[in-house]
Amino acid sequence: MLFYSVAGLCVGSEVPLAGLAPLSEPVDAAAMIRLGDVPGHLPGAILVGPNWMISEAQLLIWIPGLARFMLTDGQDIRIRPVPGRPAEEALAFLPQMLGLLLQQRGRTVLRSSAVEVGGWAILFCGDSGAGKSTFATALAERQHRLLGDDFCVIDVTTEGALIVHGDAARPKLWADAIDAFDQWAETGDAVRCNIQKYHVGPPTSPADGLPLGGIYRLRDDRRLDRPVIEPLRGMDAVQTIRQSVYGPRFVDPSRGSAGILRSAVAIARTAQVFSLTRGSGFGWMEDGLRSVEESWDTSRARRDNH
Amino acid sequence: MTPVVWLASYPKSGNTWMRVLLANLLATGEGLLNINTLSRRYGIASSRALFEDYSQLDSALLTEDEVDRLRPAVYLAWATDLAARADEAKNGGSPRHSERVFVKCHDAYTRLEDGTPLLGGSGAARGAVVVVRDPRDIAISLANQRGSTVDQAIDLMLDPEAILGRSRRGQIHQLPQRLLDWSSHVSSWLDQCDIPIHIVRYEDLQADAGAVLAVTARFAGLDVTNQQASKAAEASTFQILRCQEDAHGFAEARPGSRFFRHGKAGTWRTGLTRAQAERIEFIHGATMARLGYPIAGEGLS
Repeated sequence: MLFYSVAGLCVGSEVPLAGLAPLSEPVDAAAMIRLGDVPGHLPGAILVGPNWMISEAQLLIWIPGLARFMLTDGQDIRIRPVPGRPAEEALAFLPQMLGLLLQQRGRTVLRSSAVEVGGWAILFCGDSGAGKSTFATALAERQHRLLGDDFCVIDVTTEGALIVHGDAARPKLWADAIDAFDQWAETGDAVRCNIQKYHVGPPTSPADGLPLGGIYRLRDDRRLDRPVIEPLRGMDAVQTIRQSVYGPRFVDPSRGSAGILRSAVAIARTAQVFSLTRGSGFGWMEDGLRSVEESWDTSRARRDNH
Repeated sequence: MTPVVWLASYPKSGNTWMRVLLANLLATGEGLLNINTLSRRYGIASSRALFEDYSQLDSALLTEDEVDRLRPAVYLAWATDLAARADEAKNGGSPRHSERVFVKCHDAYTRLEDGTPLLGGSGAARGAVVVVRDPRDIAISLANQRGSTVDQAIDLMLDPEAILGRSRRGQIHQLPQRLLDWSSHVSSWLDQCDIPIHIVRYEDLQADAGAVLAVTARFAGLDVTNQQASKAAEASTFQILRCQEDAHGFAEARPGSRFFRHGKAGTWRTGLTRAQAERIEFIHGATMARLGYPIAGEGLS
């Protein structure tokens, strides 16, 4: 049995979790990951999607021809590879399943990478391919500690502060991004056989929670030569956070979209939210990093004045 | 019933122009449509965002076959949601733009191994507007869009294994789309019997966009007058689209290239060599004849 700390959750696993560093000693695990039987149907499902079913306590999700996953009570992930398919291929999806398990525990999970800047957590959200991992990795090269790659959990303290726990996963980059930045020589295994996306950099150590400093929503616009950063306020900020919620269709059905909205409003009230629009390719990266760092300086000055 | 109508075409056949015409027809406000508001999150069948939002899976970790096996169920789930929303809008007296959802599609009409239509069949869309264009003109436009030579564009149009949007070393916003060769692409849509189709020839759009738009909109079940269609066509001329692209760029254009170029039919007569035109005619002649495009190379330079 291997043990991990993922966004503040202690997890025991029968299988290795790619991209995560196991803890050196056993711990009391709050959640377990096992290979085992997973039914093809979820009795009592209250929502059904194209490849998933959800009940009050369980989420069944399947990838045709590859595997089925069952998440139960926020405590158990069971994996059933399709007979004849190697289990390793299904394991590539475990980081995502962990994010969904945390969601099942009622936590607020954002699909984002994250770095630490001056004791604050800075999050990068966006659609698949927006550059979340690339941007965070480039910032890590500039001595900002990586906090996570796939998702972050945001907790609200009793005092109303927002505390971020990154997933502590190694970044995963496509081959073209690795080529564009030759300093990333420490390329690890492919995330999955025949997919040219790789773990890069050394394993990240799980960190204590950090206060949320800011959220950047990455998007691209082919027309731009230089990246543009704009602060988002009010409903624009709330909408940006809502769009970044991890597995939104699986959020506790009893809370539903109203629950997501409440979380988004709470985050938008406290955190500074920006849109970062970039051009295509990687030519924007240097300007983007500089612009983001400048926006932090401005934000910090504003916080200090308050 | 689902409000989705596929706008199906081989690339560079006039799909974007058709989208502009329909968007202007359905626009509720005054003034010209901004071409850079044309792209919607789910605006194309191959939208990676649509796939991920419904499957809740990271598509970067899936093989092309795994993605394809999930696509039909994704379109059916989306169609169910849209149908429910359209019913709500109808009951609430919302404007007519909620009545139909036109979705660009460059995929050929293909089936999975078990016979399931990749695009979900009749449960996913109520029909398809199939936009076609003389393949000799497509070759020139395609070369410009891809930054390739005309011969390379013709090669692509002859490739029965052609896939659009495949990027093995990186990720783009669209899922890979099976194009097939040009003839097979067109035939795949014309010959399927799952959903009704309406064929629009690019050349007919040029001749009378308003008239073609009116017929197309009625095929999709929209109640429009000839006057409304003519007004939308007047707001969608190539000159207007070019001016907007000059002023603000077009987010769907390849960086450094122009999307709206000539907008004319028959540019192949001066843009292709005799050998290039004959190569296209030799391979695609039967489908060209089916669509009413004259062959035999008359008027070649």
